[in-house]
Amino acid sequence: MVNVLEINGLTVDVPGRRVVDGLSLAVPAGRVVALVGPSGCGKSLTARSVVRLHDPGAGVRLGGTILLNGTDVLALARRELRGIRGRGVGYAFQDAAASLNPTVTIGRHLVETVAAHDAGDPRTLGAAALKRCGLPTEDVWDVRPYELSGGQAQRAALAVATVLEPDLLIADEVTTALDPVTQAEVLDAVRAQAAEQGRAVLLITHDLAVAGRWADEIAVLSGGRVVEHGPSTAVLDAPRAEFTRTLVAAARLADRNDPDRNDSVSPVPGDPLLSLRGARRVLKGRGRTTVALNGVDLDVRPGEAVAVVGRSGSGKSTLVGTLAALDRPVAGRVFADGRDVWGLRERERRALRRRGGLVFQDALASFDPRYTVAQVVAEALRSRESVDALLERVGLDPAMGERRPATLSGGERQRVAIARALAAGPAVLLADEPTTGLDVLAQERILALLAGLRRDEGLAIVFVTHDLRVARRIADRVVVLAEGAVVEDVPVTGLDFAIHPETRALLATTPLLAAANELDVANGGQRAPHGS
Amino acid sequence: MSATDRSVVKGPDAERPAVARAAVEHPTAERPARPGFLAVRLRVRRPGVWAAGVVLATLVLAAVFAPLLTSYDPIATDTTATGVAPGSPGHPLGTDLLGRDLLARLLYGARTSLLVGLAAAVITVVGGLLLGGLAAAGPRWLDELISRIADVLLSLPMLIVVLALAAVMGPSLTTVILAVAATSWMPVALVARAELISQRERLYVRAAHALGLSRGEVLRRHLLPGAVPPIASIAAFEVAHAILTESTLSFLGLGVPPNRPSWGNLLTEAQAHLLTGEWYTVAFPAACVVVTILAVNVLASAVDRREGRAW
Repeated sequence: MVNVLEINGLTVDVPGRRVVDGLSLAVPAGRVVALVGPSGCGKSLTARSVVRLHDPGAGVRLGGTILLNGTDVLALARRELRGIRGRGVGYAFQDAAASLNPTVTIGRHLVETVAAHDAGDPRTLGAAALKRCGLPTEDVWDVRPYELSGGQAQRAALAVATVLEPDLLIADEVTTALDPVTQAEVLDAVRAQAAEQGRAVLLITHDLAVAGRWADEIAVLSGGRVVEHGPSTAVLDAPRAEFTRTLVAAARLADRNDPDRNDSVSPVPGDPLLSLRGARRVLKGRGRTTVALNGVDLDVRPGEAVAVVGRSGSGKSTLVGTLAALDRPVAGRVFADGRDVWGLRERERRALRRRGGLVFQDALASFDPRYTVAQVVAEALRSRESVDALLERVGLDPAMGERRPATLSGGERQRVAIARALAAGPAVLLADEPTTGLDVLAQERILALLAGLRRDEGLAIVFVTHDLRVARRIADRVVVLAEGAVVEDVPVTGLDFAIHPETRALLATTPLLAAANELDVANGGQRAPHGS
Repeated sequence: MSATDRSVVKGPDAERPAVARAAVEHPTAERPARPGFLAVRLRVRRPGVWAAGVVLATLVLAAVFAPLLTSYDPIATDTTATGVAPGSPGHPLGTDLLGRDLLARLLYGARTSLLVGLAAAVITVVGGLLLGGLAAAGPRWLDELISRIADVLLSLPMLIVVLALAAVMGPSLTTVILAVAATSWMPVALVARAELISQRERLYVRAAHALGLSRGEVLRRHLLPGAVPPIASIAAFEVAHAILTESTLSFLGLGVPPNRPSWGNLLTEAQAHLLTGEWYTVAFPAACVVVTILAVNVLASAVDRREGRAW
């Protein structure tokens, strides 16, 4: 088999630090090679080095050789490099909607790429590329990127990246923000590029289960080097490198029921802390109206962990906003401690909000950019004295208080957000996708922190996620949302026997890491009693 | 002052008169960073900012202590010393054609000009912020009303509005201040409105509401500090604009009464001498106007551009 891409001894230096240190990797034609590693390990830097797509202001320096069909990319002049970008290498980014120009239609994106390389009839080539990515040309050609759903936008971006039939496709975290059903659609399209078109595909991901399901080979990146590289099944079933074992173990934990959870406090039967009755919320946008919540009934009892699961756009975040007494439903009622939230006076409602903790997916955006970590937490406390204690409670060094949240890692930011949410001593923590976008190690630490808070303090948690693995790990009860309605509300142990098509679709598309024998053990050991 | 606390402005303000401090730096004025209050800090590392502060403070002090710095009466004529050139004994900056001491006239004129400039800028910025805030936070009709009035005023030549006001109210210091404020609050209001609206949709504002903060608290802690940098640069412009407008109005005879010295009045009277050799009667007041405007602009640039951005 021919190696389309051969990286030898690649080094990438950013000012002050060497991120990639002697990385070597080969991607043969017709294969999907996944480059896996935690955040900040240099995955994206490596991928961008292949087309030298670094931020010119960042002072990135490259060393080693990157051979693309035998040509050393690092030795090319700018003009020759432009010839390779788009034509020899297609690049798909994590945030597809942001990587496409919102003022330009999908069709023009394709035409521009073809015209830049003077490669033939744009319309024919563009239509063929869209078809390969599973998008009907007539539906998307004249449409602007923001009019597409997340999955469609990502597939359109893939079509733009592959319109000139490049030998190599780089898919950089293309599904990180997508729900499992959409993720499966996109990655199936990526896989088809390799299987049907014979392209070499470099799939960058932090999700081992994704790599295991869609990649032929896995290369594990740690400390700037590839510590292990082999066929997917071999790497996942019998990891040789110490670091791979850690990653696999962390990912497995997320797949299985958490052993800690069995000895955690069981929900106190009692009056619900929060309830929704027939909640209906309509979002009015430009020219269109979306029913985000359509008659939702939900109860959250003390000490209970409820996972709210659903695809993008199913109303999960709206549900959290409604539970937090921030968004007022157009119909239906919201009760907190048995009181009708929207029947209260503004002052009392504010007091209610103060007693609930809210954590957002994008922690950084939820902090005032002018504030330090300590100020963020202190604002919720309304005093400064116990900021240090709170930071310690979520596993952060109190010395971090003086830093700006932007200088922290994703996991650390999310801990700051949790510290802020805990400041007022809430009975319920509302967490909106707090681990989406975090790598498996950081995610594991956040989940362990939440499990510990539940166990030690009897905190009730409403945890929104599109990842069923996370839901299984954290929750007693799973609520599945589809098109603004609750279609499933079952104990987590009953999830495998759910029958609603939406739930089945989520279950079927969620990639699991456990090898066949492990799954049997898990099923036989823990789930059989409920099954029989 | 130690090097470490220079990032929070305290030093030079302390010995500056309170009026000037509030006016020059409002609303960029800084208080030590208490958590929760305006958490914006000026970064005063550049020597130019210090220099500008010193220049402005000197001008303000000179205006306040004018009687101590010169023994001449700014409006007393001295027929024995008319048209004396700068550098003459007893008249360091010379006298005008009526024999009035130019230094004394500049010092007393600074009182009028700085008062007009700073007072009008404060009214403009505070009023503009208030109206912009109301437009952003209030009901839709109020937003429309304020925005449309601003548009209409922006589309009218400023001088016509000011002339009309001055004609109705009669020439006086108050007229000048009100006329300037009435014709220059629009940019502040429109920018404040746009900034507040764009920030209102940010996640950290939602997070603040989720913490149970009232609308006022959110406005004060999270929205206003973000709007400060653009408004600061407009505020600097407004000070300059007010001083210039005072000069213009006085020049046209509609501003400060001619018997009261102001930089604008000095220029008005000197217009006839521009080409007759008494260049200094024009140059000195003009230089004062230019130096003040430059100093205010440099000071306003001290508000860090990056404040208010996620970086």
